[in-house]
Amino acid sequence: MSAVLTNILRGVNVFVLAMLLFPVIVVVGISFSSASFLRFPPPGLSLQWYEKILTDPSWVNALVLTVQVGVISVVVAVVVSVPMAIALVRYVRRGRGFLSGLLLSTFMTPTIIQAISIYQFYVPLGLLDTVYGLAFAHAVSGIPFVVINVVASLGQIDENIERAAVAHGARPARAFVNVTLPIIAPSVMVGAIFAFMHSAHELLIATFVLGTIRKPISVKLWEGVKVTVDPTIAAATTSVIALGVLLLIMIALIRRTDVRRRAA
Amino acid sequence: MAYGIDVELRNLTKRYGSFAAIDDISLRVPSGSFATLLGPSGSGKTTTLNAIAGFVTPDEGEIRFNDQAVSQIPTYKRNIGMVFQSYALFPHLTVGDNVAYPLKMRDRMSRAAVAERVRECLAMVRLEGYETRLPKQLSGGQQQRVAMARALASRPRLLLMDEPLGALDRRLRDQVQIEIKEIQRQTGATFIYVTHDQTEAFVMSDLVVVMNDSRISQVGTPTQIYDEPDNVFVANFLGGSNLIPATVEGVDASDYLVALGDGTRLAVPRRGQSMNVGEAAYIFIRPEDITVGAPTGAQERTVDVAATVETVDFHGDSLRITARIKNTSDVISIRTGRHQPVGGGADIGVSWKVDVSRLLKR
Repeated sequence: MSAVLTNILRGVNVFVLAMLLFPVIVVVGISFSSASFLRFPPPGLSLQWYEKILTDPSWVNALVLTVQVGVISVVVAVVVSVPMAIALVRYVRRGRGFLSGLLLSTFMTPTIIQAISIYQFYVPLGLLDTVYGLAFAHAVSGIPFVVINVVASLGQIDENIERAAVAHGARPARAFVNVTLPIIAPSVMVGAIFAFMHSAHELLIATFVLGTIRKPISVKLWEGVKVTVDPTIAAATTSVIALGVLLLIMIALIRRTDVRRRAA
Repeated sequence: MAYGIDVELRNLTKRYGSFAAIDDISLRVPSGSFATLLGPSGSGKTTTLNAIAGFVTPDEGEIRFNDQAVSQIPTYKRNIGMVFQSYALFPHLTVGDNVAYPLKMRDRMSRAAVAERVRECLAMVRLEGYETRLPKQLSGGQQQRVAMARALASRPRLLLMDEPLGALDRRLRDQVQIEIKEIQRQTGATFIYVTHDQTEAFVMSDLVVVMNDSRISQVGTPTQIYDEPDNVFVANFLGGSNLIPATVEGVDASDYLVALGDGTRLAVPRRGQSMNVGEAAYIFIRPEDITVGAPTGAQERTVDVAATVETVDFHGDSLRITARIKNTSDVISIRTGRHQPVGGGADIGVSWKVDVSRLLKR
């Protein structure tokens, strides 16, 4: 390939990256602004907007709520997904493709459709306007994240490893806990992190199920954008981005130690 | 050494849908012996091994350890050791913890006793001091040894091995074969070993069980299996063999009288399967049992046949000659010393002792 073409490709890459990162850079920049209105580049640097978030009870409550919903939904998703993944890999012979497709269909359905149907489903159950209601709804959309990761990891495990434990005296349940679980644990973690981030970012279901009473971060951000346009929003957004980056770094670390352990 | 257990399979059958993975297998492996299930892939040898381990539940028949039926005993209570082709080491545990695993599951031993036993087992496979390593830090051959040590750790009286050397290179395999045999002698346990490699089966086994098409083709000592195959499959599967088409023309006290395609008559000893006059058969002779040279005629109990050399191939330690028997289309292969002065197209006489040949049903 010619040097010219390589340079053109490189240029396109840089352009696309800049396009993708530009809004993030702007938001992060504004969040440290000393001005009291949205202006980029910021006239000076200050941490005042972060201070405001941390001292404003409505923001703190939103953060606590997001974490509550996220943690509950992730626990539910993991408890359902791990047995599901094991069943898919080991016991389902016919219809595996269909079931996997069904699982992925939550990615395909528009979230607004999900939000409306969950709303209608929840009314008679009394789950509307409850933390658990939102957590369960998020668990449903979190399940595919965990299942996909665990299925991939189970697929790579030599099934004789669990057999080796059983052959050498472990009851099947014990063999699973001793051997399979530690091996798939990193994938469960990665899936759980994805599910948590999904829950933290999700806006529509949160608005329908809980948003009118209590507001998780995503709803609060949305309303903030609609009502007040000051850098508090930018600071909150930056915090959410930072959380995402942190979790992504965690994923990378988990994957790396996992790969190191597996490499034979 | 009464340490090992007697393993007996009685009319074992396992079906998957309409396909029988093993079909009416009966076998007895005496205590303390080394038995090898030998056969091509898909012949049912691994299914048989997994049934003995308890991973596969037979549809019919039963398995007995020391004359006790084990059908109701789950795998984890069968007190076996097992080595897998993929080694199946626990990747998240150290070598020491891998080897200690059966001890922790089965035996109530003090921590010190476990450590001592682990040391012993690692010494047996010549991996002293490897306790703290992780499996992935070891070479394939070393991982194989760890798998051996783990299988031996709780001193099982039955050890099952599923192609444990399949992933090793030739030289390493030769060496480990001898070590495995030595460990079997030391422990006195019964070993049941699965392989598709005949050399492996011959070097280690007391008993070779040749399997084909979900059934047992023949059971015997390595020499029996090699020298006296019961059927065409066993003859072909183990080493080079000549199967010369012939027809049975007569029977006397010790021999069958058979005719080759060109009408040449010769004798084949009466052993193994009984044949009827007029039946189509194969004369079985190993390539190394055929000599090239002028007809010996006068010699007792020798067969002489005239043939034309077709090809001569140099194999380093020997020559492989293929020759066509005169007036027939039957080609025989001969393995001879490397200094045999023959070339393509030459007319030669070949001969073999009657007693090394065998008649098999066609």
